[in-house]
Amino acid sequence: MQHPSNSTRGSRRLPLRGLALGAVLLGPGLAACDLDKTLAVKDEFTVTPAVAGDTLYLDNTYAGARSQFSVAIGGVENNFMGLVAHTGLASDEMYAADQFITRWVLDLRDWDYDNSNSESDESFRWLQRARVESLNAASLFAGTSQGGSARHAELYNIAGLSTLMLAENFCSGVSLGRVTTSGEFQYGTQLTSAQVYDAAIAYFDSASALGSAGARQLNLARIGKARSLLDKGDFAGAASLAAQVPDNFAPYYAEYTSASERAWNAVNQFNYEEKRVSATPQEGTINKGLPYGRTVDPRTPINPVSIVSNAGGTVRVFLQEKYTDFDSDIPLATAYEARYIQAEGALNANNVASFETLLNQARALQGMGALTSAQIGTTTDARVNTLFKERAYAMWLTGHRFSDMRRLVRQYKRSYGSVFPTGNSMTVGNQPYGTEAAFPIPFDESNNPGVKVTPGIGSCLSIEA
Amino acid sequence: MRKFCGLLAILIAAALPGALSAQGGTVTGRVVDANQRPLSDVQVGIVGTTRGALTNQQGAFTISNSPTGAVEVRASRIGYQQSVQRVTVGAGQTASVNFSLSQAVVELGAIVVTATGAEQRVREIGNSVSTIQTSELEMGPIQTVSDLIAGRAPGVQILPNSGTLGSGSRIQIRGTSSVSLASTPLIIIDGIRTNNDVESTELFTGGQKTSRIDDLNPEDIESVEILKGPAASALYGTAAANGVIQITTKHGQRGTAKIGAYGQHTNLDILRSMVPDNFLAIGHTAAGAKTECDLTRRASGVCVAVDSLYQYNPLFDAANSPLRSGGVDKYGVNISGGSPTGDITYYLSGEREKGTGTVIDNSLDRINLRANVSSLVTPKLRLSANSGYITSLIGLPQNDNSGGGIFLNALEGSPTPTNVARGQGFRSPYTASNVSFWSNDEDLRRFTGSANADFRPLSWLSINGTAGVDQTNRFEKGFIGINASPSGFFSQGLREQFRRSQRDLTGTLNANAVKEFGAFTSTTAVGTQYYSSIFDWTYAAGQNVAPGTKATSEPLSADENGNGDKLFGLYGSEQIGFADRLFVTAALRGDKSNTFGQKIGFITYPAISASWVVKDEPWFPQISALSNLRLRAAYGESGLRPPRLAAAQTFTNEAAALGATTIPGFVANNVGNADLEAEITHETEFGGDLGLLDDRLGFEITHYQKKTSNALIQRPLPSSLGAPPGDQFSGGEGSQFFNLGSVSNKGWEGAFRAEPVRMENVDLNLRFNFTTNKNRLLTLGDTSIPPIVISLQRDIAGYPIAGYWAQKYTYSDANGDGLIQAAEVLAVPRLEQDDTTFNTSFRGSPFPTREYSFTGDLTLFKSFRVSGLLDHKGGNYLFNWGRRSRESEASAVFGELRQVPGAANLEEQAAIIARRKGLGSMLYIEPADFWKLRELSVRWSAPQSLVRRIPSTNGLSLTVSGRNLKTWTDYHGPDPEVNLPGQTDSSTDPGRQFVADLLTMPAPRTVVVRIDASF
Repeated sequence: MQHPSNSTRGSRRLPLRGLALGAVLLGPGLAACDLDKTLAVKDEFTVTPAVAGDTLYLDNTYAGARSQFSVAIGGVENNFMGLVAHTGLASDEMYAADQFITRWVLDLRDWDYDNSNSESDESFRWLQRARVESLNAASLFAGTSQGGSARHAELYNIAGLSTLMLAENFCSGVSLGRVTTSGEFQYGTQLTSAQVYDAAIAYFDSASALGSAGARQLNLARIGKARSLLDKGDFAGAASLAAQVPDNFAPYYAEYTSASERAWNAVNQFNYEEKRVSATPQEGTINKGLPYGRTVDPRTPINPVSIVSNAGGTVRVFLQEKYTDFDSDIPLATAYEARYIQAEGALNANNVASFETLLNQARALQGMGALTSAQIGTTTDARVNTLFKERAYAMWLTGHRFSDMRRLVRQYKRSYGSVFPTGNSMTVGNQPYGTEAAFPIPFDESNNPGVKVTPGIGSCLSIEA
Repeated sequence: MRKFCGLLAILIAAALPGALSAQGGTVTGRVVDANQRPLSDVQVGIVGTTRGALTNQQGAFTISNSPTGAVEVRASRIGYQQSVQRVTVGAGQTASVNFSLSQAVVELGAIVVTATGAEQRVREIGNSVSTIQTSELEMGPIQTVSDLIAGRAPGVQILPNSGTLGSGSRIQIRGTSSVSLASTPLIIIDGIRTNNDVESTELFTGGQKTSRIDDLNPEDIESVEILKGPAASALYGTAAANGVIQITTKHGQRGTAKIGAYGQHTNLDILRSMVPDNFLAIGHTAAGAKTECDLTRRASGVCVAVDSLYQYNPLFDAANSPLRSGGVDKYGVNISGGSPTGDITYYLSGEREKGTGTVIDNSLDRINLRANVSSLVTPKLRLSANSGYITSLIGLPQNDNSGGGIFLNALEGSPTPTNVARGQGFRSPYTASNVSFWSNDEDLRRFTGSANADFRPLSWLSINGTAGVDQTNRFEKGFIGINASPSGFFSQGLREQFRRSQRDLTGTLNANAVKEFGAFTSTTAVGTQYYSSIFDWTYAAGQNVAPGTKATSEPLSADENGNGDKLFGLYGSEQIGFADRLFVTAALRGDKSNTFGQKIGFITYPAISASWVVKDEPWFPQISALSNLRLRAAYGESGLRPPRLAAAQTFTNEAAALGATTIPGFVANNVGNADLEAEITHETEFGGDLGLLDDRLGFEITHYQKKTSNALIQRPLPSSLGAPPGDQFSGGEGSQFFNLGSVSNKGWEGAFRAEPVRMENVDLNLRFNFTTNKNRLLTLGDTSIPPIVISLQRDIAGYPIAGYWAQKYTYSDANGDGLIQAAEVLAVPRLEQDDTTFNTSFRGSPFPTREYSFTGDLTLFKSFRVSGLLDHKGGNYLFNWGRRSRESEASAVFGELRQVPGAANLEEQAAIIARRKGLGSMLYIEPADFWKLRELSVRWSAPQSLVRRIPSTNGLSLTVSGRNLKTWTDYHGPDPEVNLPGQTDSSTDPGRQFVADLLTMPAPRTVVVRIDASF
């Protein structure tokens, strides 16, 4: 039996408790009623399109394009080797020293065009990203106070260099689409290699056309365009442009920093740290590639003492000593390259004296002594050999060599077997070399409505050198 | 929306004050079994109301605030037939009623907790629910929650990934529904959503990862309910399409404190029979020169005869092998009890688990603490608080796809005496001593807490609210000492730390009303839920480690990120029951989330189900052997939200070198899709339950059919667009999420239970579970989208998601020499552009298409209990990458088939040559069917006559048990269940449900000795 007074007191207290409890229970629910506010998540780490597209932050947009280009050339730590290493594998500069068959395949030049190659695909993708993000950044620069500036020009030059390298190393059939800053998809169609070179030239011309581009960017555009013309076989046009580049043009680098793993020079990381690729003293057991190493030419420093590779067993790794740190920069355009282009123009114009002079000028710019006519060679073939050897040593591990080897086949009518190493490779199992001469286009290009896939060559139009 | 919230608030607030002052009667009583032994955990409730209580250890119960007048009281417990009795209750008075329940293998009386917080009997639910009660199990061989579920719930696949101590399992329910999203079910602990991250390791281990569901202490779990798909889980809304695992932790019961204590030692061993030896044949050429004499050299004629055959196993033959016998000690104590009236109950527990795995660097040290309290504040209001705190330190070794992996370096080491002398047979430059140079530790601190208010203001109305948090703080630490790496990898040492903090918040408010209208019962529920999951993480790395320390002098890298998703849901359901034998339920949930595209509002998920206990129909023939028959059917929809930020166009801030400086650069990160919606899975299931011979035989069968439409597919974009990669470090093609395509899963689930012997001194229970699943990717958007290729796995319409495909080749021993030469293996070229399979042929599904499990439980003389679990999975294939690597790929090909003359038949020789020529891996994608003796336990319980002699002791038992004791399989690797990427699925690596065995550690054979005591 409950005491009446207690009961009364209880009935007075319970509603108060109930109200308090109700408030506690309903608090979250009522708060949830302002849904948009309640469901908003403050994102402090994602850059929004509004910020990325704000002309107040042009420096950051410019830097973003540069970082994409550096990744395309020098890779990403432990994930992507970069174009320099990929072309190094496919040429005679490097060999694969780990267990990844996709890397062996690059080294052996034995890829499958139908299914493409996950390694070279990455070079394709990052070059395309560098091109697109440079163009998007250049669009932002236009109409601002920095429009027409050196940085604006550099963005076009990066787009030009990226496009040029796509043409130089991949099969004919590369498309040049674009995701715009607003997210719109602009699909490209398959272009011949000549058309891709023309696109690169157009970008270099855009850089040159900017009023305040400055001498450095103008000279970079000249080298880029000259290289494109050279690749197209317009030796005279290339030489004429290259001649405008002064000797004091400081090298243009793909730049790296140890401040972020993404910004490391991955050529160094894959070779020094990971032992997944090796510098090559000399490849091939039948036709041999060029010999490399400090004793052969000081511009190709290789530690002569090999060490155990990532694959273990009998596979050894030689450490290149050109990029010895995570922040080692990769030279992409130099005054001596301009001189080599001029020299090649002279050689193709049968001006041997000028050829020899320019060749030695290029060497002098690198601190190398002059070669005598006898050392250069007394026949056209010998001079071509010397020129390409010079280019190979001067521009060792810079993404030039594979394209040069392709040019020897395409432009100088050398046989494939006399240019590329043949016989057995230095990779795992000393497997025999294949016969491919142009990187495949990624399998995902079959998602492009502008691309026709052809059995046997995938999304390529042609797989010739 | 605002109107709804306001109305809800007014209704509930208005009901509270008056309702709290209502007065009823009390019903008390006791429940015993057929042998008059008290039954605890029996759910006793007043029919047609929300009033109820659980019995305590003495079988006693008290239901407060009962409606007055004549009421029906029902007693239900899993494993027993329910019983209903009528009693009259006076206002302010106490009525008494007692029950005696008979055992039953048909579990229609089991109680499950619904999404609205209400409790329902299984007979009322139109879908199948699997319930696992830990009190029914031998806990010895059960180390994790994954172990607890494995093999015990039809339709639930627990795919343990390796023998690494502390690594997790992949969990799939009724197949893989999503091409590009995770297949992980929702995990709810005591009413709140918790971190269901099944791959929780960020630092590089080569493969294996920890899983957050396995943090929980199985000893603290009362029951696990598994809702298998949208037909059951629609009310859980977005995120529940993969099913729901609902965990209820233990609670105290009224009465004096009961103390339980246990201690166990687990021994873990990898058997020699699990790990292949390394072989190397040395011979000579025709000219007499010494040469390696493997298959390719013999076939090509380079080697004409074998002179020596070396054989060695670095893991077993080396004196200082990194492989060892692992051992884990576990000690725990729990105290539970309550006030004599049951107004206050409590459960407190603590456990320490510490030990080592079977390889060096693999260790576990975990402490689990739990405190659950509950108080009947007023006769109508119960407040409960549940809290769990976990701290663990897990050491993960390098293995699987790590160049520094212990198994990889052991199984790719030359067996020559020279290499054995150099490095105990390990792959050069590794040795038995230096192979373990890279350690990773996961240091976890996790708190899961929830508070629940269960308010029953009126006999027909209950309101419950739950709020809780699951806070996970994970610190991962990687370390390479100075000059520790034999390959020179970070020769100056490396220190990495990854720190992630994640907070999952849940708030729910539900109202349930029950009303009887003659033979009809109406159960109405409405509720609302708010959920948010916010994380932030930091990463830092440094090199140049001071000797003997982990101090670095040179920073390498630092990064930070944080984000989250939030969801708000409203739901309601209405169930109409007729004469306690026919139940029809309709439900609807609406969700809105910040992860939906900007143009998307609420997404709704409907469900309807029916349950019909046919046997209770008056017209149904009374067949003595037939004790129960129920038919059921259910339909429901549920969704999976798009990944965080998938809908948004985003950029990241990346470092760019500019001369001597570094400047921040904006880099495109995601192209976004403003139209993105949740993908919706529709599920229909129907089935029945049959009880025979007084419910001593039971059958349960269910057919399910799921179709995921509007499927979220991460469509690869052509690389020429220059679209950003999914990850700025990993690269890969650019992609964009679209709602495209559809996926189908269908199959059968069933259970057969029997209690063939039920005697005073002999009791035998048997159970057989089976599951089948047929998974198909029906469409992949429009026809312009080609198959998604993931190495050997492809998403191709008409085939299973992530099915294995391999390039075709032909072979013939043309010269009849018994050896396959390179020229005798030929590729089958792709002929047509529209050949969507790209000169490959389908090999099989990577996920099991069938699973069978047998469990048996024999009790003798009430003292001895023998129980076992035999498990089968099959119909799937597994890429044996390790075998391929050892036979045809690496520089170190020391596999028996490659080296030993006559060991490989022509097909196996062709496989070796084909891979060597880059022509495919068909034979290395192997059938992975197996049977495993998963568990075997023998427990001896000391008789009471003996126990009474020990002061203050109520019970004492000794258990010896084993796990993974025997495997029967034709798979050529050590273990057909392993998976190199651990639990990695599409949640973090979208579209890449990669499944492979790359010399992954097999599950060890474990033997457990355990002592339990109660006081």
